[in-house]
Amino acid sequence: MRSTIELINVSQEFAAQSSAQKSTVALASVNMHIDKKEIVALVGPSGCGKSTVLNIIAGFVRPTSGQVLFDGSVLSGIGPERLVVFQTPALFPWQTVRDNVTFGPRMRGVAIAEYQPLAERIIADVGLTDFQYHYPYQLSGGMRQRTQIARALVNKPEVLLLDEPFGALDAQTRLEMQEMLLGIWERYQATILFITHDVEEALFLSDRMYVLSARPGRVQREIKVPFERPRRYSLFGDEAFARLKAEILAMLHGKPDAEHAA
Amino acid sequence: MVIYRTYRWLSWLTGGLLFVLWTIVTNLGWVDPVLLPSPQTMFHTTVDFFSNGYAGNSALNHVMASVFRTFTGLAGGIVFGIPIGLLIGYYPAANAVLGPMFSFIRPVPPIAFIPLVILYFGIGEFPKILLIGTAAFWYVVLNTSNGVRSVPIDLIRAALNLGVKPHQLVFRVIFPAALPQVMTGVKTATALSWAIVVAAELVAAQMGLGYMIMDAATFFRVPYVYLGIIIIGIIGLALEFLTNAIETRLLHWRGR
Ligand SMILES: Nc1ncnc2c1ncn2[C@@H]1O[C@H](COP(=O)(O)OP(=O)(O)OP(=O)(O)O)[C@@H](O)[C@H]1O
Ligand SMILES: [Mg+2]
Repeated sequence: MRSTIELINVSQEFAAQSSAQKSTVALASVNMHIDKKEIVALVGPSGCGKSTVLNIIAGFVRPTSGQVLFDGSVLSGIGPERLVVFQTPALFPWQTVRDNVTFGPRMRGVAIAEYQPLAERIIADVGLTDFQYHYPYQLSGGMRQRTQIARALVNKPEVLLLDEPFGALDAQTRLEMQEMLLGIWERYQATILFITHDVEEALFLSDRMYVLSARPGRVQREIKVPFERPRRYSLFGDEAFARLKAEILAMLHGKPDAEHAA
Repeated sequence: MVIYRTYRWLSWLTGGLLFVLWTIVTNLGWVDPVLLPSPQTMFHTTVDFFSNGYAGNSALNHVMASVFRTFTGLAGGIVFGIPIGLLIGYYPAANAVLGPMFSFIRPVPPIAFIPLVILYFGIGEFPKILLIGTAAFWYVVLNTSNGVRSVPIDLIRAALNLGVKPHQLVFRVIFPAALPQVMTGVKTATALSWAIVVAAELVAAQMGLGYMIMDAATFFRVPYVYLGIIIIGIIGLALEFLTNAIETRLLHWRGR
């Protein structure tokens, strides 16, 4: 089967801005793929280039070398079929939740009759019906992320790209959001790539995960997450889950027992 | 300025005390009544001004002359300033072309140009409006372009990601995102315009509040000087109140 997204030997070097700086090699020959309807997690130490991978797939950044394929053809720029959920919610502060959510279709001239019912359903799905006429500054952090997710979903994207979407939330809210994301994934059949620094979150949500090495980032390991769906929180107490988690953590910290990883 | 409700009576007290002091020193003859008229004189002058006007023009004519010049100049400055500000904020090349000239002219106090515009355009309405308009223009341009440059990159990326066209990016995303700064420019420009109109009228005018205080001082009609100053103060305060009200309504989301 052809992958939805494919990165082939992708490298990224950022030029120095002044003579006092050196150029930064963020990614070195990264190969990865994301298949249709898959949830893929990207973990790795801070500064290893996770956001850069996401920016490249979104088309915000053009890789220094290598190839990015989308549905089998060379990726061309930014597009609403690959939508980003930003780590710090990038909502339009002068618009209500509802206007934020419908922003994409409105700007692209989609007929109201076409997006309105969908928008309403998605706002309900992310649990914001009672807050749809509120402004972003009147929302909690979790609600802002829900709004961002709804704003993306309304465009029926093929791929959702989430950059540490729940990183800034408290543990309780994070669990709720993870559950919501799984619900949405089932209902809307999206392909999802998400970045996280939380190994448990990656194991709970994803079908596969990529572990990147410290900078320059390269794929250190690809892990198939073996747990069956639908997944429940009881998985956190599962022995296999705990073992896999420990292995990945060891790998991230460069300990020798990384050798025994699955 | 926000004053807590609990302390508001103190503000009234200060005002009241000053008024009493003024009444006492003027009525007991402690100061020269030509230099500082008494409250009674001021009251009669006010009534006289609003019923008979000053120097052949009604009170309303004087007030409206100043207000009209201010608003016309200000409107011109805003209407031209916002697009130019967007342009030089968005295109570094436009900034390179226009920026140096702007940064040289802007710090020159607008009043310094008064003799020059009189030389060029005489003492009619146009030179005054031009002077106000250009002064307002610099501040609107400066703040708008700064506002455009400080729009977060993620907001622009989010919009592009959702499929905006270039004109939508400018008018539906960058402009509203920069609006708080644009509004700061408009507020500064408004206060400045009011100051300039008075200065311009002091130098060359047949009507207006600035003209009135200059003329009254020349002919030792000191109560009219004070009255002019008071009316200028009140209108200035009203302008500030107005722009603040527009800002809080329009930009309730700012900074949050
Ligand atoms: N626009 C840029 N210009 C120069 N260097 C950059 C730029 N963007 C990222 N980098 C560098 O690339 C490297 C990877 O950055 P990136 O943001 O992808 O890391 P990350 O894995 O997302 O980190 P974190 O987990 O802390 O978010 C860093 O060393 C960073 O300094
Ligand atoms: Mg990052």
